[in-house]
Amino acid sequence: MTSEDEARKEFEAVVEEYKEDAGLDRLKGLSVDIFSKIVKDAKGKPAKNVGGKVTNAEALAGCDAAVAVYCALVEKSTDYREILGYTAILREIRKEAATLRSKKLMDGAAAYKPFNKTFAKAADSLKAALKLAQDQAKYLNLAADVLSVFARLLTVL
Amino acid sequence: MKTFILVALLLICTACSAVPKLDKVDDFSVAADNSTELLKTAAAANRNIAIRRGEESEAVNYITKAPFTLLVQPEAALDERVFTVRLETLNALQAYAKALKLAVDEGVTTKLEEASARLGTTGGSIAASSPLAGPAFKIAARGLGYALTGAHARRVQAIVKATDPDVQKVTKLLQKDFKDVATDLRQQLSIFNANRHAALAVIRGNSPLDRLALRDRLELYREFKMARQDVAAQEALIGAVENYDRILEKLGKAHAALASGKPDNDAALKRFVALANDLVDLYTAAPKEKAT
Repeated sequence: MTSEDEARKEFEAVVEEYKEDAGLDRLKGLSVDIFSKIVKDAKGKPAKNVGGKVTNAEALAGCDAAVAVYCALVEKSTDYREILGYTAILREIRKEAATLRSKKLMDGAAAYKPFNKTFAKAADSLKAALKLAQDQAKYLNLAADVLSVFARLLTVL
Repeated sequence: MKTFILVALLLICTACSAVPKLDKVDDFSVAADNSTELLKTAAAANRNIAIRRGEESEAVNYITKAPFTLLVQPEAALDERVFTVRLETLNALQAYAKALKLAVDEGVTTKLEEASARLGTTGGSIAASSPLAGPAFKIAARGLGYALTGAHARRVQAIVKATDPDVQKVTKLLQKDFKDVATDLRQQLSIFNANRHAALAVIRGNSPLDRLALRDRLELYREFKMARQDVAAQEALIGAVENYDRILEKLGKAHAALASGKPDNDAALKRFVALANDLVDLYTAAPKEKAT
């Protein structure tokens, strides 16, 4: 089993453990470990053992799980120094989560582009249909005006 | 024979295409507006919560004598382009909804039908040589009006039908993406809550309770209440965004209802009454025509 497979397996275990609401302290250690393996090492550099091979979706799920764990730990703790430690870690994980989710949402942004043209074209077609109907009403009124004048002419003659 | 003509008339009227009902178009237009508002609220919440988080972190830095800044900086918010790209599409959808509302406005069809009725009356008065000619001209002109209204309705309906698959696709895409946006905002709120928690904990310190003076405890109580209100205010912003599924579902459903092209029975009935009146005139004129 490669280090990559191990990290992946461990990561899946963290998420599962978290779902089962296992002890928060045990999760804390695991999530720090996994977070540093799949996202960054302690100095903020990309983790060497996995590199960029873990998918964004997996990394994001790891960050989300870690945020949930640390937020729960903040609620549980009564020591302000410990709480400050947790919030400092949360800040780092949040940066990563924001980058990953922004990337995910920006990757999906291209899918919207064609619809802008479709809706603009549909709006133009509706405007053209409206103008045609308005013109037709105008021409019918014009025809009625001509007939009316013609009727008056007939009466005079 | 008369009954047969009346039934045939009714069938013709109901078969005539009518533009989608205005209230259904209104439903779609309101749903498009609400979806746009939803996205704008999400973008504002993304920025506000990130700014408040940063502010809270800096405040803690200040009271713990760590380096701090007074500059307003959103802390790890979602990239703003995430919202602007989707807003462009929703703006285009809103413009389409607006154009649709104008195209199905009753004024357009009324103008066409009134103009044709006026043409019929004027034409009928000229053809006074025969008693039948007047009512017959009126019916023919009204028929022309209905034909033109029907053609307009078919054009509008064709555009709505052709656009519907794209409206449904956009609705699905937005529902999927809003799930991520709502998850992110909820996460930002959790971290803001944690930061606020940290500030309270630092203000209180780790001193035992009996060392705190009554005034200090009262001050802490006020700080706590303020922190709760801060979190609740941000929570309200997110609560609005978390309604995304219900709001976006309405967008897809309202347009699908338009695309189904169900006939407007009121319009068909109005046409039937108008044509039946013209037909009565024609029947009344028939004996006079025989007599001449």
